[in-house]
Parts: sequence; structure tokens; C-alpha cells
Amino acid sequence: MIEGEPLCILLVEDNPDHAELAIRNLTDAGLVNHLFHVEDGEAALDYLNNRGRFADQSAYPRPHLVLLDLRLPKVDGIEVLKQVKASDQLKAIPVVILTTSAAERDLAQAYNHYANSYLTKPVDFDSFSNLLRDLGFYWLAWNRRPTS
Amino acid sequence: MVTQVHKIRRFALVLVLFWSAGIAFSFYWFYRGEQQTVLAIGRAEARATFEKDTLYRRWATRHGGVYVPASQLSPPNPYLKRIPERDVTTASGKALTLVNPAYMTRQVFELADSQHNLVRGHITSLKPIRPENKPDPWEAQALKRFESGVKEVSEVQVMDGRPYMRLMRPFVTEPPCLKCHAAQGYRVGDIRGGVSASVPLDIDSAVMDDVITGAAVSHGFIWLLGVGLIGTGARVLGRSARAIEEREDRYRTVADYTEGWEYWQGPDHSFRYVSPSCLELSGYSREEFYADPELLHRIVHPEDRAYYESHVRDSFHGTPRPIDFRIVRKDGEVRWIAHICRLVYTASGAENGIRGSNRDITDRKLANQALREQAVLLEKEVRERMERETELEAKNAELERFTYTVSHDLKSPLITIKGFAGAVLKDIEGGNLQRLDGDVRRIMGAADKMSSLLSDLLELSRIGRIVNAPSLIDMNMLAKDVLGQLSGPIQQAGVEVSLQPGLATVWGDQPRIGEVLQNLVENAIKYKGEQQQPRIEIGMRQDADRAVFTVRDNGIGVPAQYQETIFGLFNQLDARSDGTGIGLALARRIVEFHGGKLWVESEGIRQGSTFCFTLGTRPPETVQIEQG
Repeated sequence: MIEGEPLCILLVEDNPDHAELAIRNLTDAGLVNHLFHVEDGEAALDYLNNRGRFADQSAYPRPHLVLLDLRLPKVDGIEVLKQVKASDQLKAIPVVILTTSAAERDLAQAYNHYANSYLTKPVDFDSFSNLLRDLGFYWLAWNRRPTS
Repeated sequence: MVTQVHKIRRFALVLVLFWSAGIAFSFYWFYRGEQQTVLAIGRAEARATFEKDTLYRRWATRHGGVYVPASQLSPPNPYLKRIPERDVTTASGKALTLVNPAYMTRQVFELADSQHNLVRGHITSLKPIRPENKPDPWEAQALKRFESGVKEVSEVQVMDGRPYMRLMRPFVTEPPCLKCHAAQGYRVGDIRGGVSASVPLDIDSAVMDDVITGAAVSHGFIWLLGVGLIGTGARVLGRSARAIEEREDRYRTVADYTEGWEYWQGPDHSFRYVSPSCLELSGYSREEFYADPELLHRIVHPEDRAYYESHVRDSFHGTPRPIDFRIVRKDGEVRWIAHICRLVYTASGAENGIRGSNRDITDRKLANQALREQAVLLEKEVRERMERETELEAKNAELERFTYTVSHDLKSPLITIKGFAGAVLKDIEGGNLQRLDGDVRRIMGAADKMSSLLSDLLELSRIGRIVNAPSLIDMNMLAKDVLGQLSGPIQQAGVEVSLQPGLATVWGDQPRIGEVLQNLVENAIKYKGEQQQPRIEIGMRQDADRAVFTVRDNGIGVPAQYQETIFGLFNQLDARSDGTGIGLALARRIVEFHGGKLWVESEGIRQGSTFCFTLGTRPPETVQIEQG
């Protein structure tokens, strides 16, 4: 590890297949120490705020990156993004949107709510692998964060 | 047209003629009177002269004549030669001669003749002793008339160029006359001759001329005065008549040539004036209105009559307001009238009826009406267009949502398929085979998902296009059918189902309404959650004016914030539940196509849910707008 620090990602993805693909690619690249996967927006917010079943902060640490799908059950992705960026404690966490949607409206909405990046899931397997690897490298290796 | 002025002028002329004739007659009468007076005076003078002469001669006759000194003036009378003592000489030697009455008279007459303006006398006879005493022709005629008993003859005669009143009386023989005339054979009482007296009339005429001139002048003055008075009177009358005529002309022009129908009704409601234009408006002439004060009331349209009559009452009580009303013309046509009126007063301020004006506003009324109708039509059209636009906007938004959802949801399994296919290939290359089975299953699952998505989409698109003929649906029967079809899953899930009897009957596409019920029941089974005694009740309640059908469960419930989300296309609250998330979207679409609403009521998590829907009560339109 470049920083020698355990890296933590929160993956918010309702489609278990997509989640598996993402996890597999990120893990294969050997970038991630901890990857937590939740399946809806409500769970994501609970995790980030250490609420409910995610109350144990040591078991569910603050992530260094949030990978957020937009279309989620219960609370949708934009709402999660809005709440994260509205929170003084959470707004510093980079939130990368990872979605199937390439709709201009979704893009604009995401950036308007301070998304740090917006990525469309490629249909092609190699592209998908490369994207996730590059993503991991960029945010977890190259990107610098303040030491908390 | 004979004007008042002309009449006055003609009358004045006639008056002048009468006046002139009167004056002329008066003058003539006066003149004639004067003339007769002159003749009477002349005759009286002649008579007086005659009497005087007779008296003097009689005196002389009684004395048998008188002796006068014989001279050149009175030479001895040769016709008395036979009279003894014709000539005597006085003792002193003075020579005297006898002058008989005739001789004396002749001498006096001759003396009078020498004086210009005295009465002339003449003694004459048809048988004169002295030949010079023979009568002139007039005297001869008069003498002959005496013989037939006439006592006096008088006449105006011109002698020597002068007018004379000549009068003659017979000369009767008296005893002393016989002294000289006995020889001629006369006896006492015989008419022996006559004496005439001629009074010159020109002296009296001259006096008379002055009188006549004076009379003429005074008559002239009186005539002039009369003519002047008549003339002045006529002029004064004429001037005032002309002024009246001019004024009348002005008012008539102003009143008669009005565009509208003007009138004046007296306090007794009779028409004092109606402008001729009433004929154009009403078809009735002004004479008809003059003859019948009730005519206007009668031609008011029966529907407007009460309104009009109350207006008339108000007007005569001093509060006239402008009104519009209809009249029925003589030819039966209905016209709109704009009516205004006001009270009128006499010069002394007494109320004097109503002055009214009627104007034809039929064209304006008709135009207004057409405009109003047009406006209503336009408004309706605009409203319909706005409704269509709103509908279209909703449809566009729905289409957009649909496209977005479809592209997202169809892409999702593709990513899975390609992703795991790639992984499988890589694993095969690397000889790593233990994950293959799971990955291929994932691929299969994604393909199945895609397939069911596609069929759901097809189903959704059919809702708008394939329409079964609407029929009257017995909801109890339909619900029983649906529950029968779902008896397998119901038994498997151990759900207790109850159906309220006496549900309303509705109009609709029966198979589609069946789908709605099926989806709702399936949904209730699927989300029964941890419930140990799952229950589903199908029923109905009455909300306001429409029946609300309900499918109630005691399952997981829907928190308030998701009560709208769940109806979104492919939306699922639980990612791991079966199905594509199209069921509720489909059900709502069908209900909306039937003009109804579908919604959920729930107290929240684990409180159960009640899905409610209404349906239109009338048959839906048979032709539906095609859906994208």
C-alpha cells in the first residue's frame, strides 16, 4: 500500500450481480482492505452515521470512498448524496456515482449535489475491470486526503 | 302650401278694397247730396224770385200800371197805343207815360240781365202782344205742358255756356189783365203765358266745388289712414306669423328628421308628438300612434312587457332609467329597442308628460350575442386545448420516464451478463474453474430477468392499445375468479382471504380489472413479511360520491415516504424480492385508463397496507389514444 493505511470503501449497490462484479474487480486489483456492501440508500445512510445495525464504529469504520448507485430501493442515490454533502461530518468523503444511467439529467443532478465524480458502468467486461481498477488507484493511491 | 303670411296678406288686400269702396261710396253719396242741395237752392231761389216778381207785377196790375217819366229808358210803349191816356203831362209840364206790368217786368228783367250774377227772368207767351216776348224752345215746351195742367216746370239748362236752374210757372189771367188782353180773347183764369226764372248755378257750384274738394281731401285722408292702419296691421301680423312659422319650421326640422323614434307623451299618456321615423322602426305610422295611446304598450314583446310597464310607471313618477326591450313590428319581425326618456315640464314648471327616444339596436344586440357565443366557444376550445396540452405533457413526461427506466433497467442485466461472461472467460484461461458454476448462473439469471422485463414492457405497452369492449362487471364474481386463479400461491403462503359481499358493479374492461385485482393480491402475498397469520380482505367503502375498492393486508406496510415510489416502473423497495417491480405500475396504469385512481394507505412498517382504487362509473371511451 502506498500510504500504508488500511483503505475502506462503502459500496452502495442494489443489484447483487453488479456488486459482485465490482467487489471482484476491486479485490483482484489488490487495492482494498475493507469493502462494505449495502443494498439500499437507507442502509448506506445508517452505515455512514453508525446507526442501527451499523452502530459499532470499529466494525463499520468511516469509508475513504463511497461508490454510490443512483437507483436504489427505499432511499435513492441522489437523496443519499444530498444528505452526505449536507452533513459537516460526512461531506469530506469523496462520493463517486457508479450507475448504469448516462442520462444528462442524472449527471446534472449528481454534480449539483456535489458528487465528486460520475461514472457510467461500461457494458464491456474489460472496460468494467479497467474502470474499477483505475478508480481504485486514483482515489485510493494517487488521491491525497487530509490525515484525520 | 298656403302659409299664414299669405293668408294675412290676402285678407289685408280684401280689407283695403272694401275700405276703398266704402270711402268711394261715402264720397259719392256726399257729392250727390251736395249737387242736389245746389239744385234745391237754385230752385228755391228761382221760386222766390218768381213770387217776388209776381207780387210786384200784381201791385202794378192793381194800379192799372204806373206812370213814369218818359225817357230813353222808358219810351212810350207802342203796344199800348190803344190805351187812353197813355201819355200824360203833369201840370208843371212833365211828360209821363204809362208802364204796364208786363212792360215793367220786362224792364226789370232786362236790368237784371245786365248784371252778371243775378237771377234772370223772362215773361213770355205763346201769343205775345210784343213779338220780342216770344218763348225760347224750352219755354215753349213748358208752356205747352202748363196747358195740360202742370203747375211748375224746373230743369237745369245751359245758356250762353253757363248752367242755370230754370223754373217756370204759368201766368193766370186776372181781371185787371183784361184791360190790355181782353182784345186777345182771354178770360179770367185762362193761362195767358208764363214767367221763367233762371238762377245761375255756377256760383253755387263754385261754392260746392270748395265743399267737394274739402270733402275729397278729408275722404282721402280717412282712406289713407284706413289703408295705412290695415297695411301696418297686416305687416305686424305677418311678421309675427313669419316668426312663428320659422320657429315651427325649425322645431319641425329638428323633430321630424331624427334617426331615432322620438316622441312626447302627455300626462294622460296620449301621444302629443311622434317622429315620422317610428314607421321605419315599428312599421306603424305616427297617425296610428296618435289615434291609439295604447299601441306602444301592445307592440312591446310579451316577455318584456312587464319590465317595460314597470319602467313606464317609474318614469311617470320621476325616476326614468334607460332600458332595452323588444318590440314586435307590424310585419311580425322582432326588433331590439334602446329606450331613454325624461320628464318634461311646462314653462310654468308643471309636469307635462314624458319625452322618449327609441333607437334600433337589433344589429348590436345580435352582434353581441354572436360575440358572446363565439367567446363561449373559444373559451371551451381553449379549455379543451389546455386539457389536451396538460394530458400531452403528462404523457410526454411519462414517456420520458418510461424511456429512462427502460434504458436503465435493460442495461443492468446486460452489464451482469457481459461482466460475468468476461469473468468466466478469464477464469477458464487461468484454469480457475471453481467460480464458473455460480457465474454462469448469474448470467442465466440476468438473461431471465431481461426476458421478463421485456415481456412486462410489452404488457405495459398493450394497456393503451388492446382494449376489450367495456362491460358491466360484477366485482364479487371477478374477485372470486382472481382468487381462484391464485389459490396455489395463497395456500402456499398460508394467507387467509376474505371477500366482502355486495360489491358495486362497475363499467370496464373485465380482463384488465381482473389483472388489477390479481396484482394487488399477489403484492399482498409477496409482502406479507414476518406475519404469522397473514390476512387479505377484499372490500369496498363509499367515499364522497364514488365507490372505493380496497385490498387490505396485514403485511410489512409502506412507510409514508415510499407510498408514491412503489408505483414507479421497476421500483422495488426490497432489491431481493422476486419480480421486476412492474406490478403496481401496471395496476395503476389500468385503473387510470378507466378514469379512476390507485393509491396505498398504510400506517407504516409492519402496520399492513390498504391498496385502494376507484373506477369510472360510466362506460369508458371505446377509442383510446394510442400509447407510445
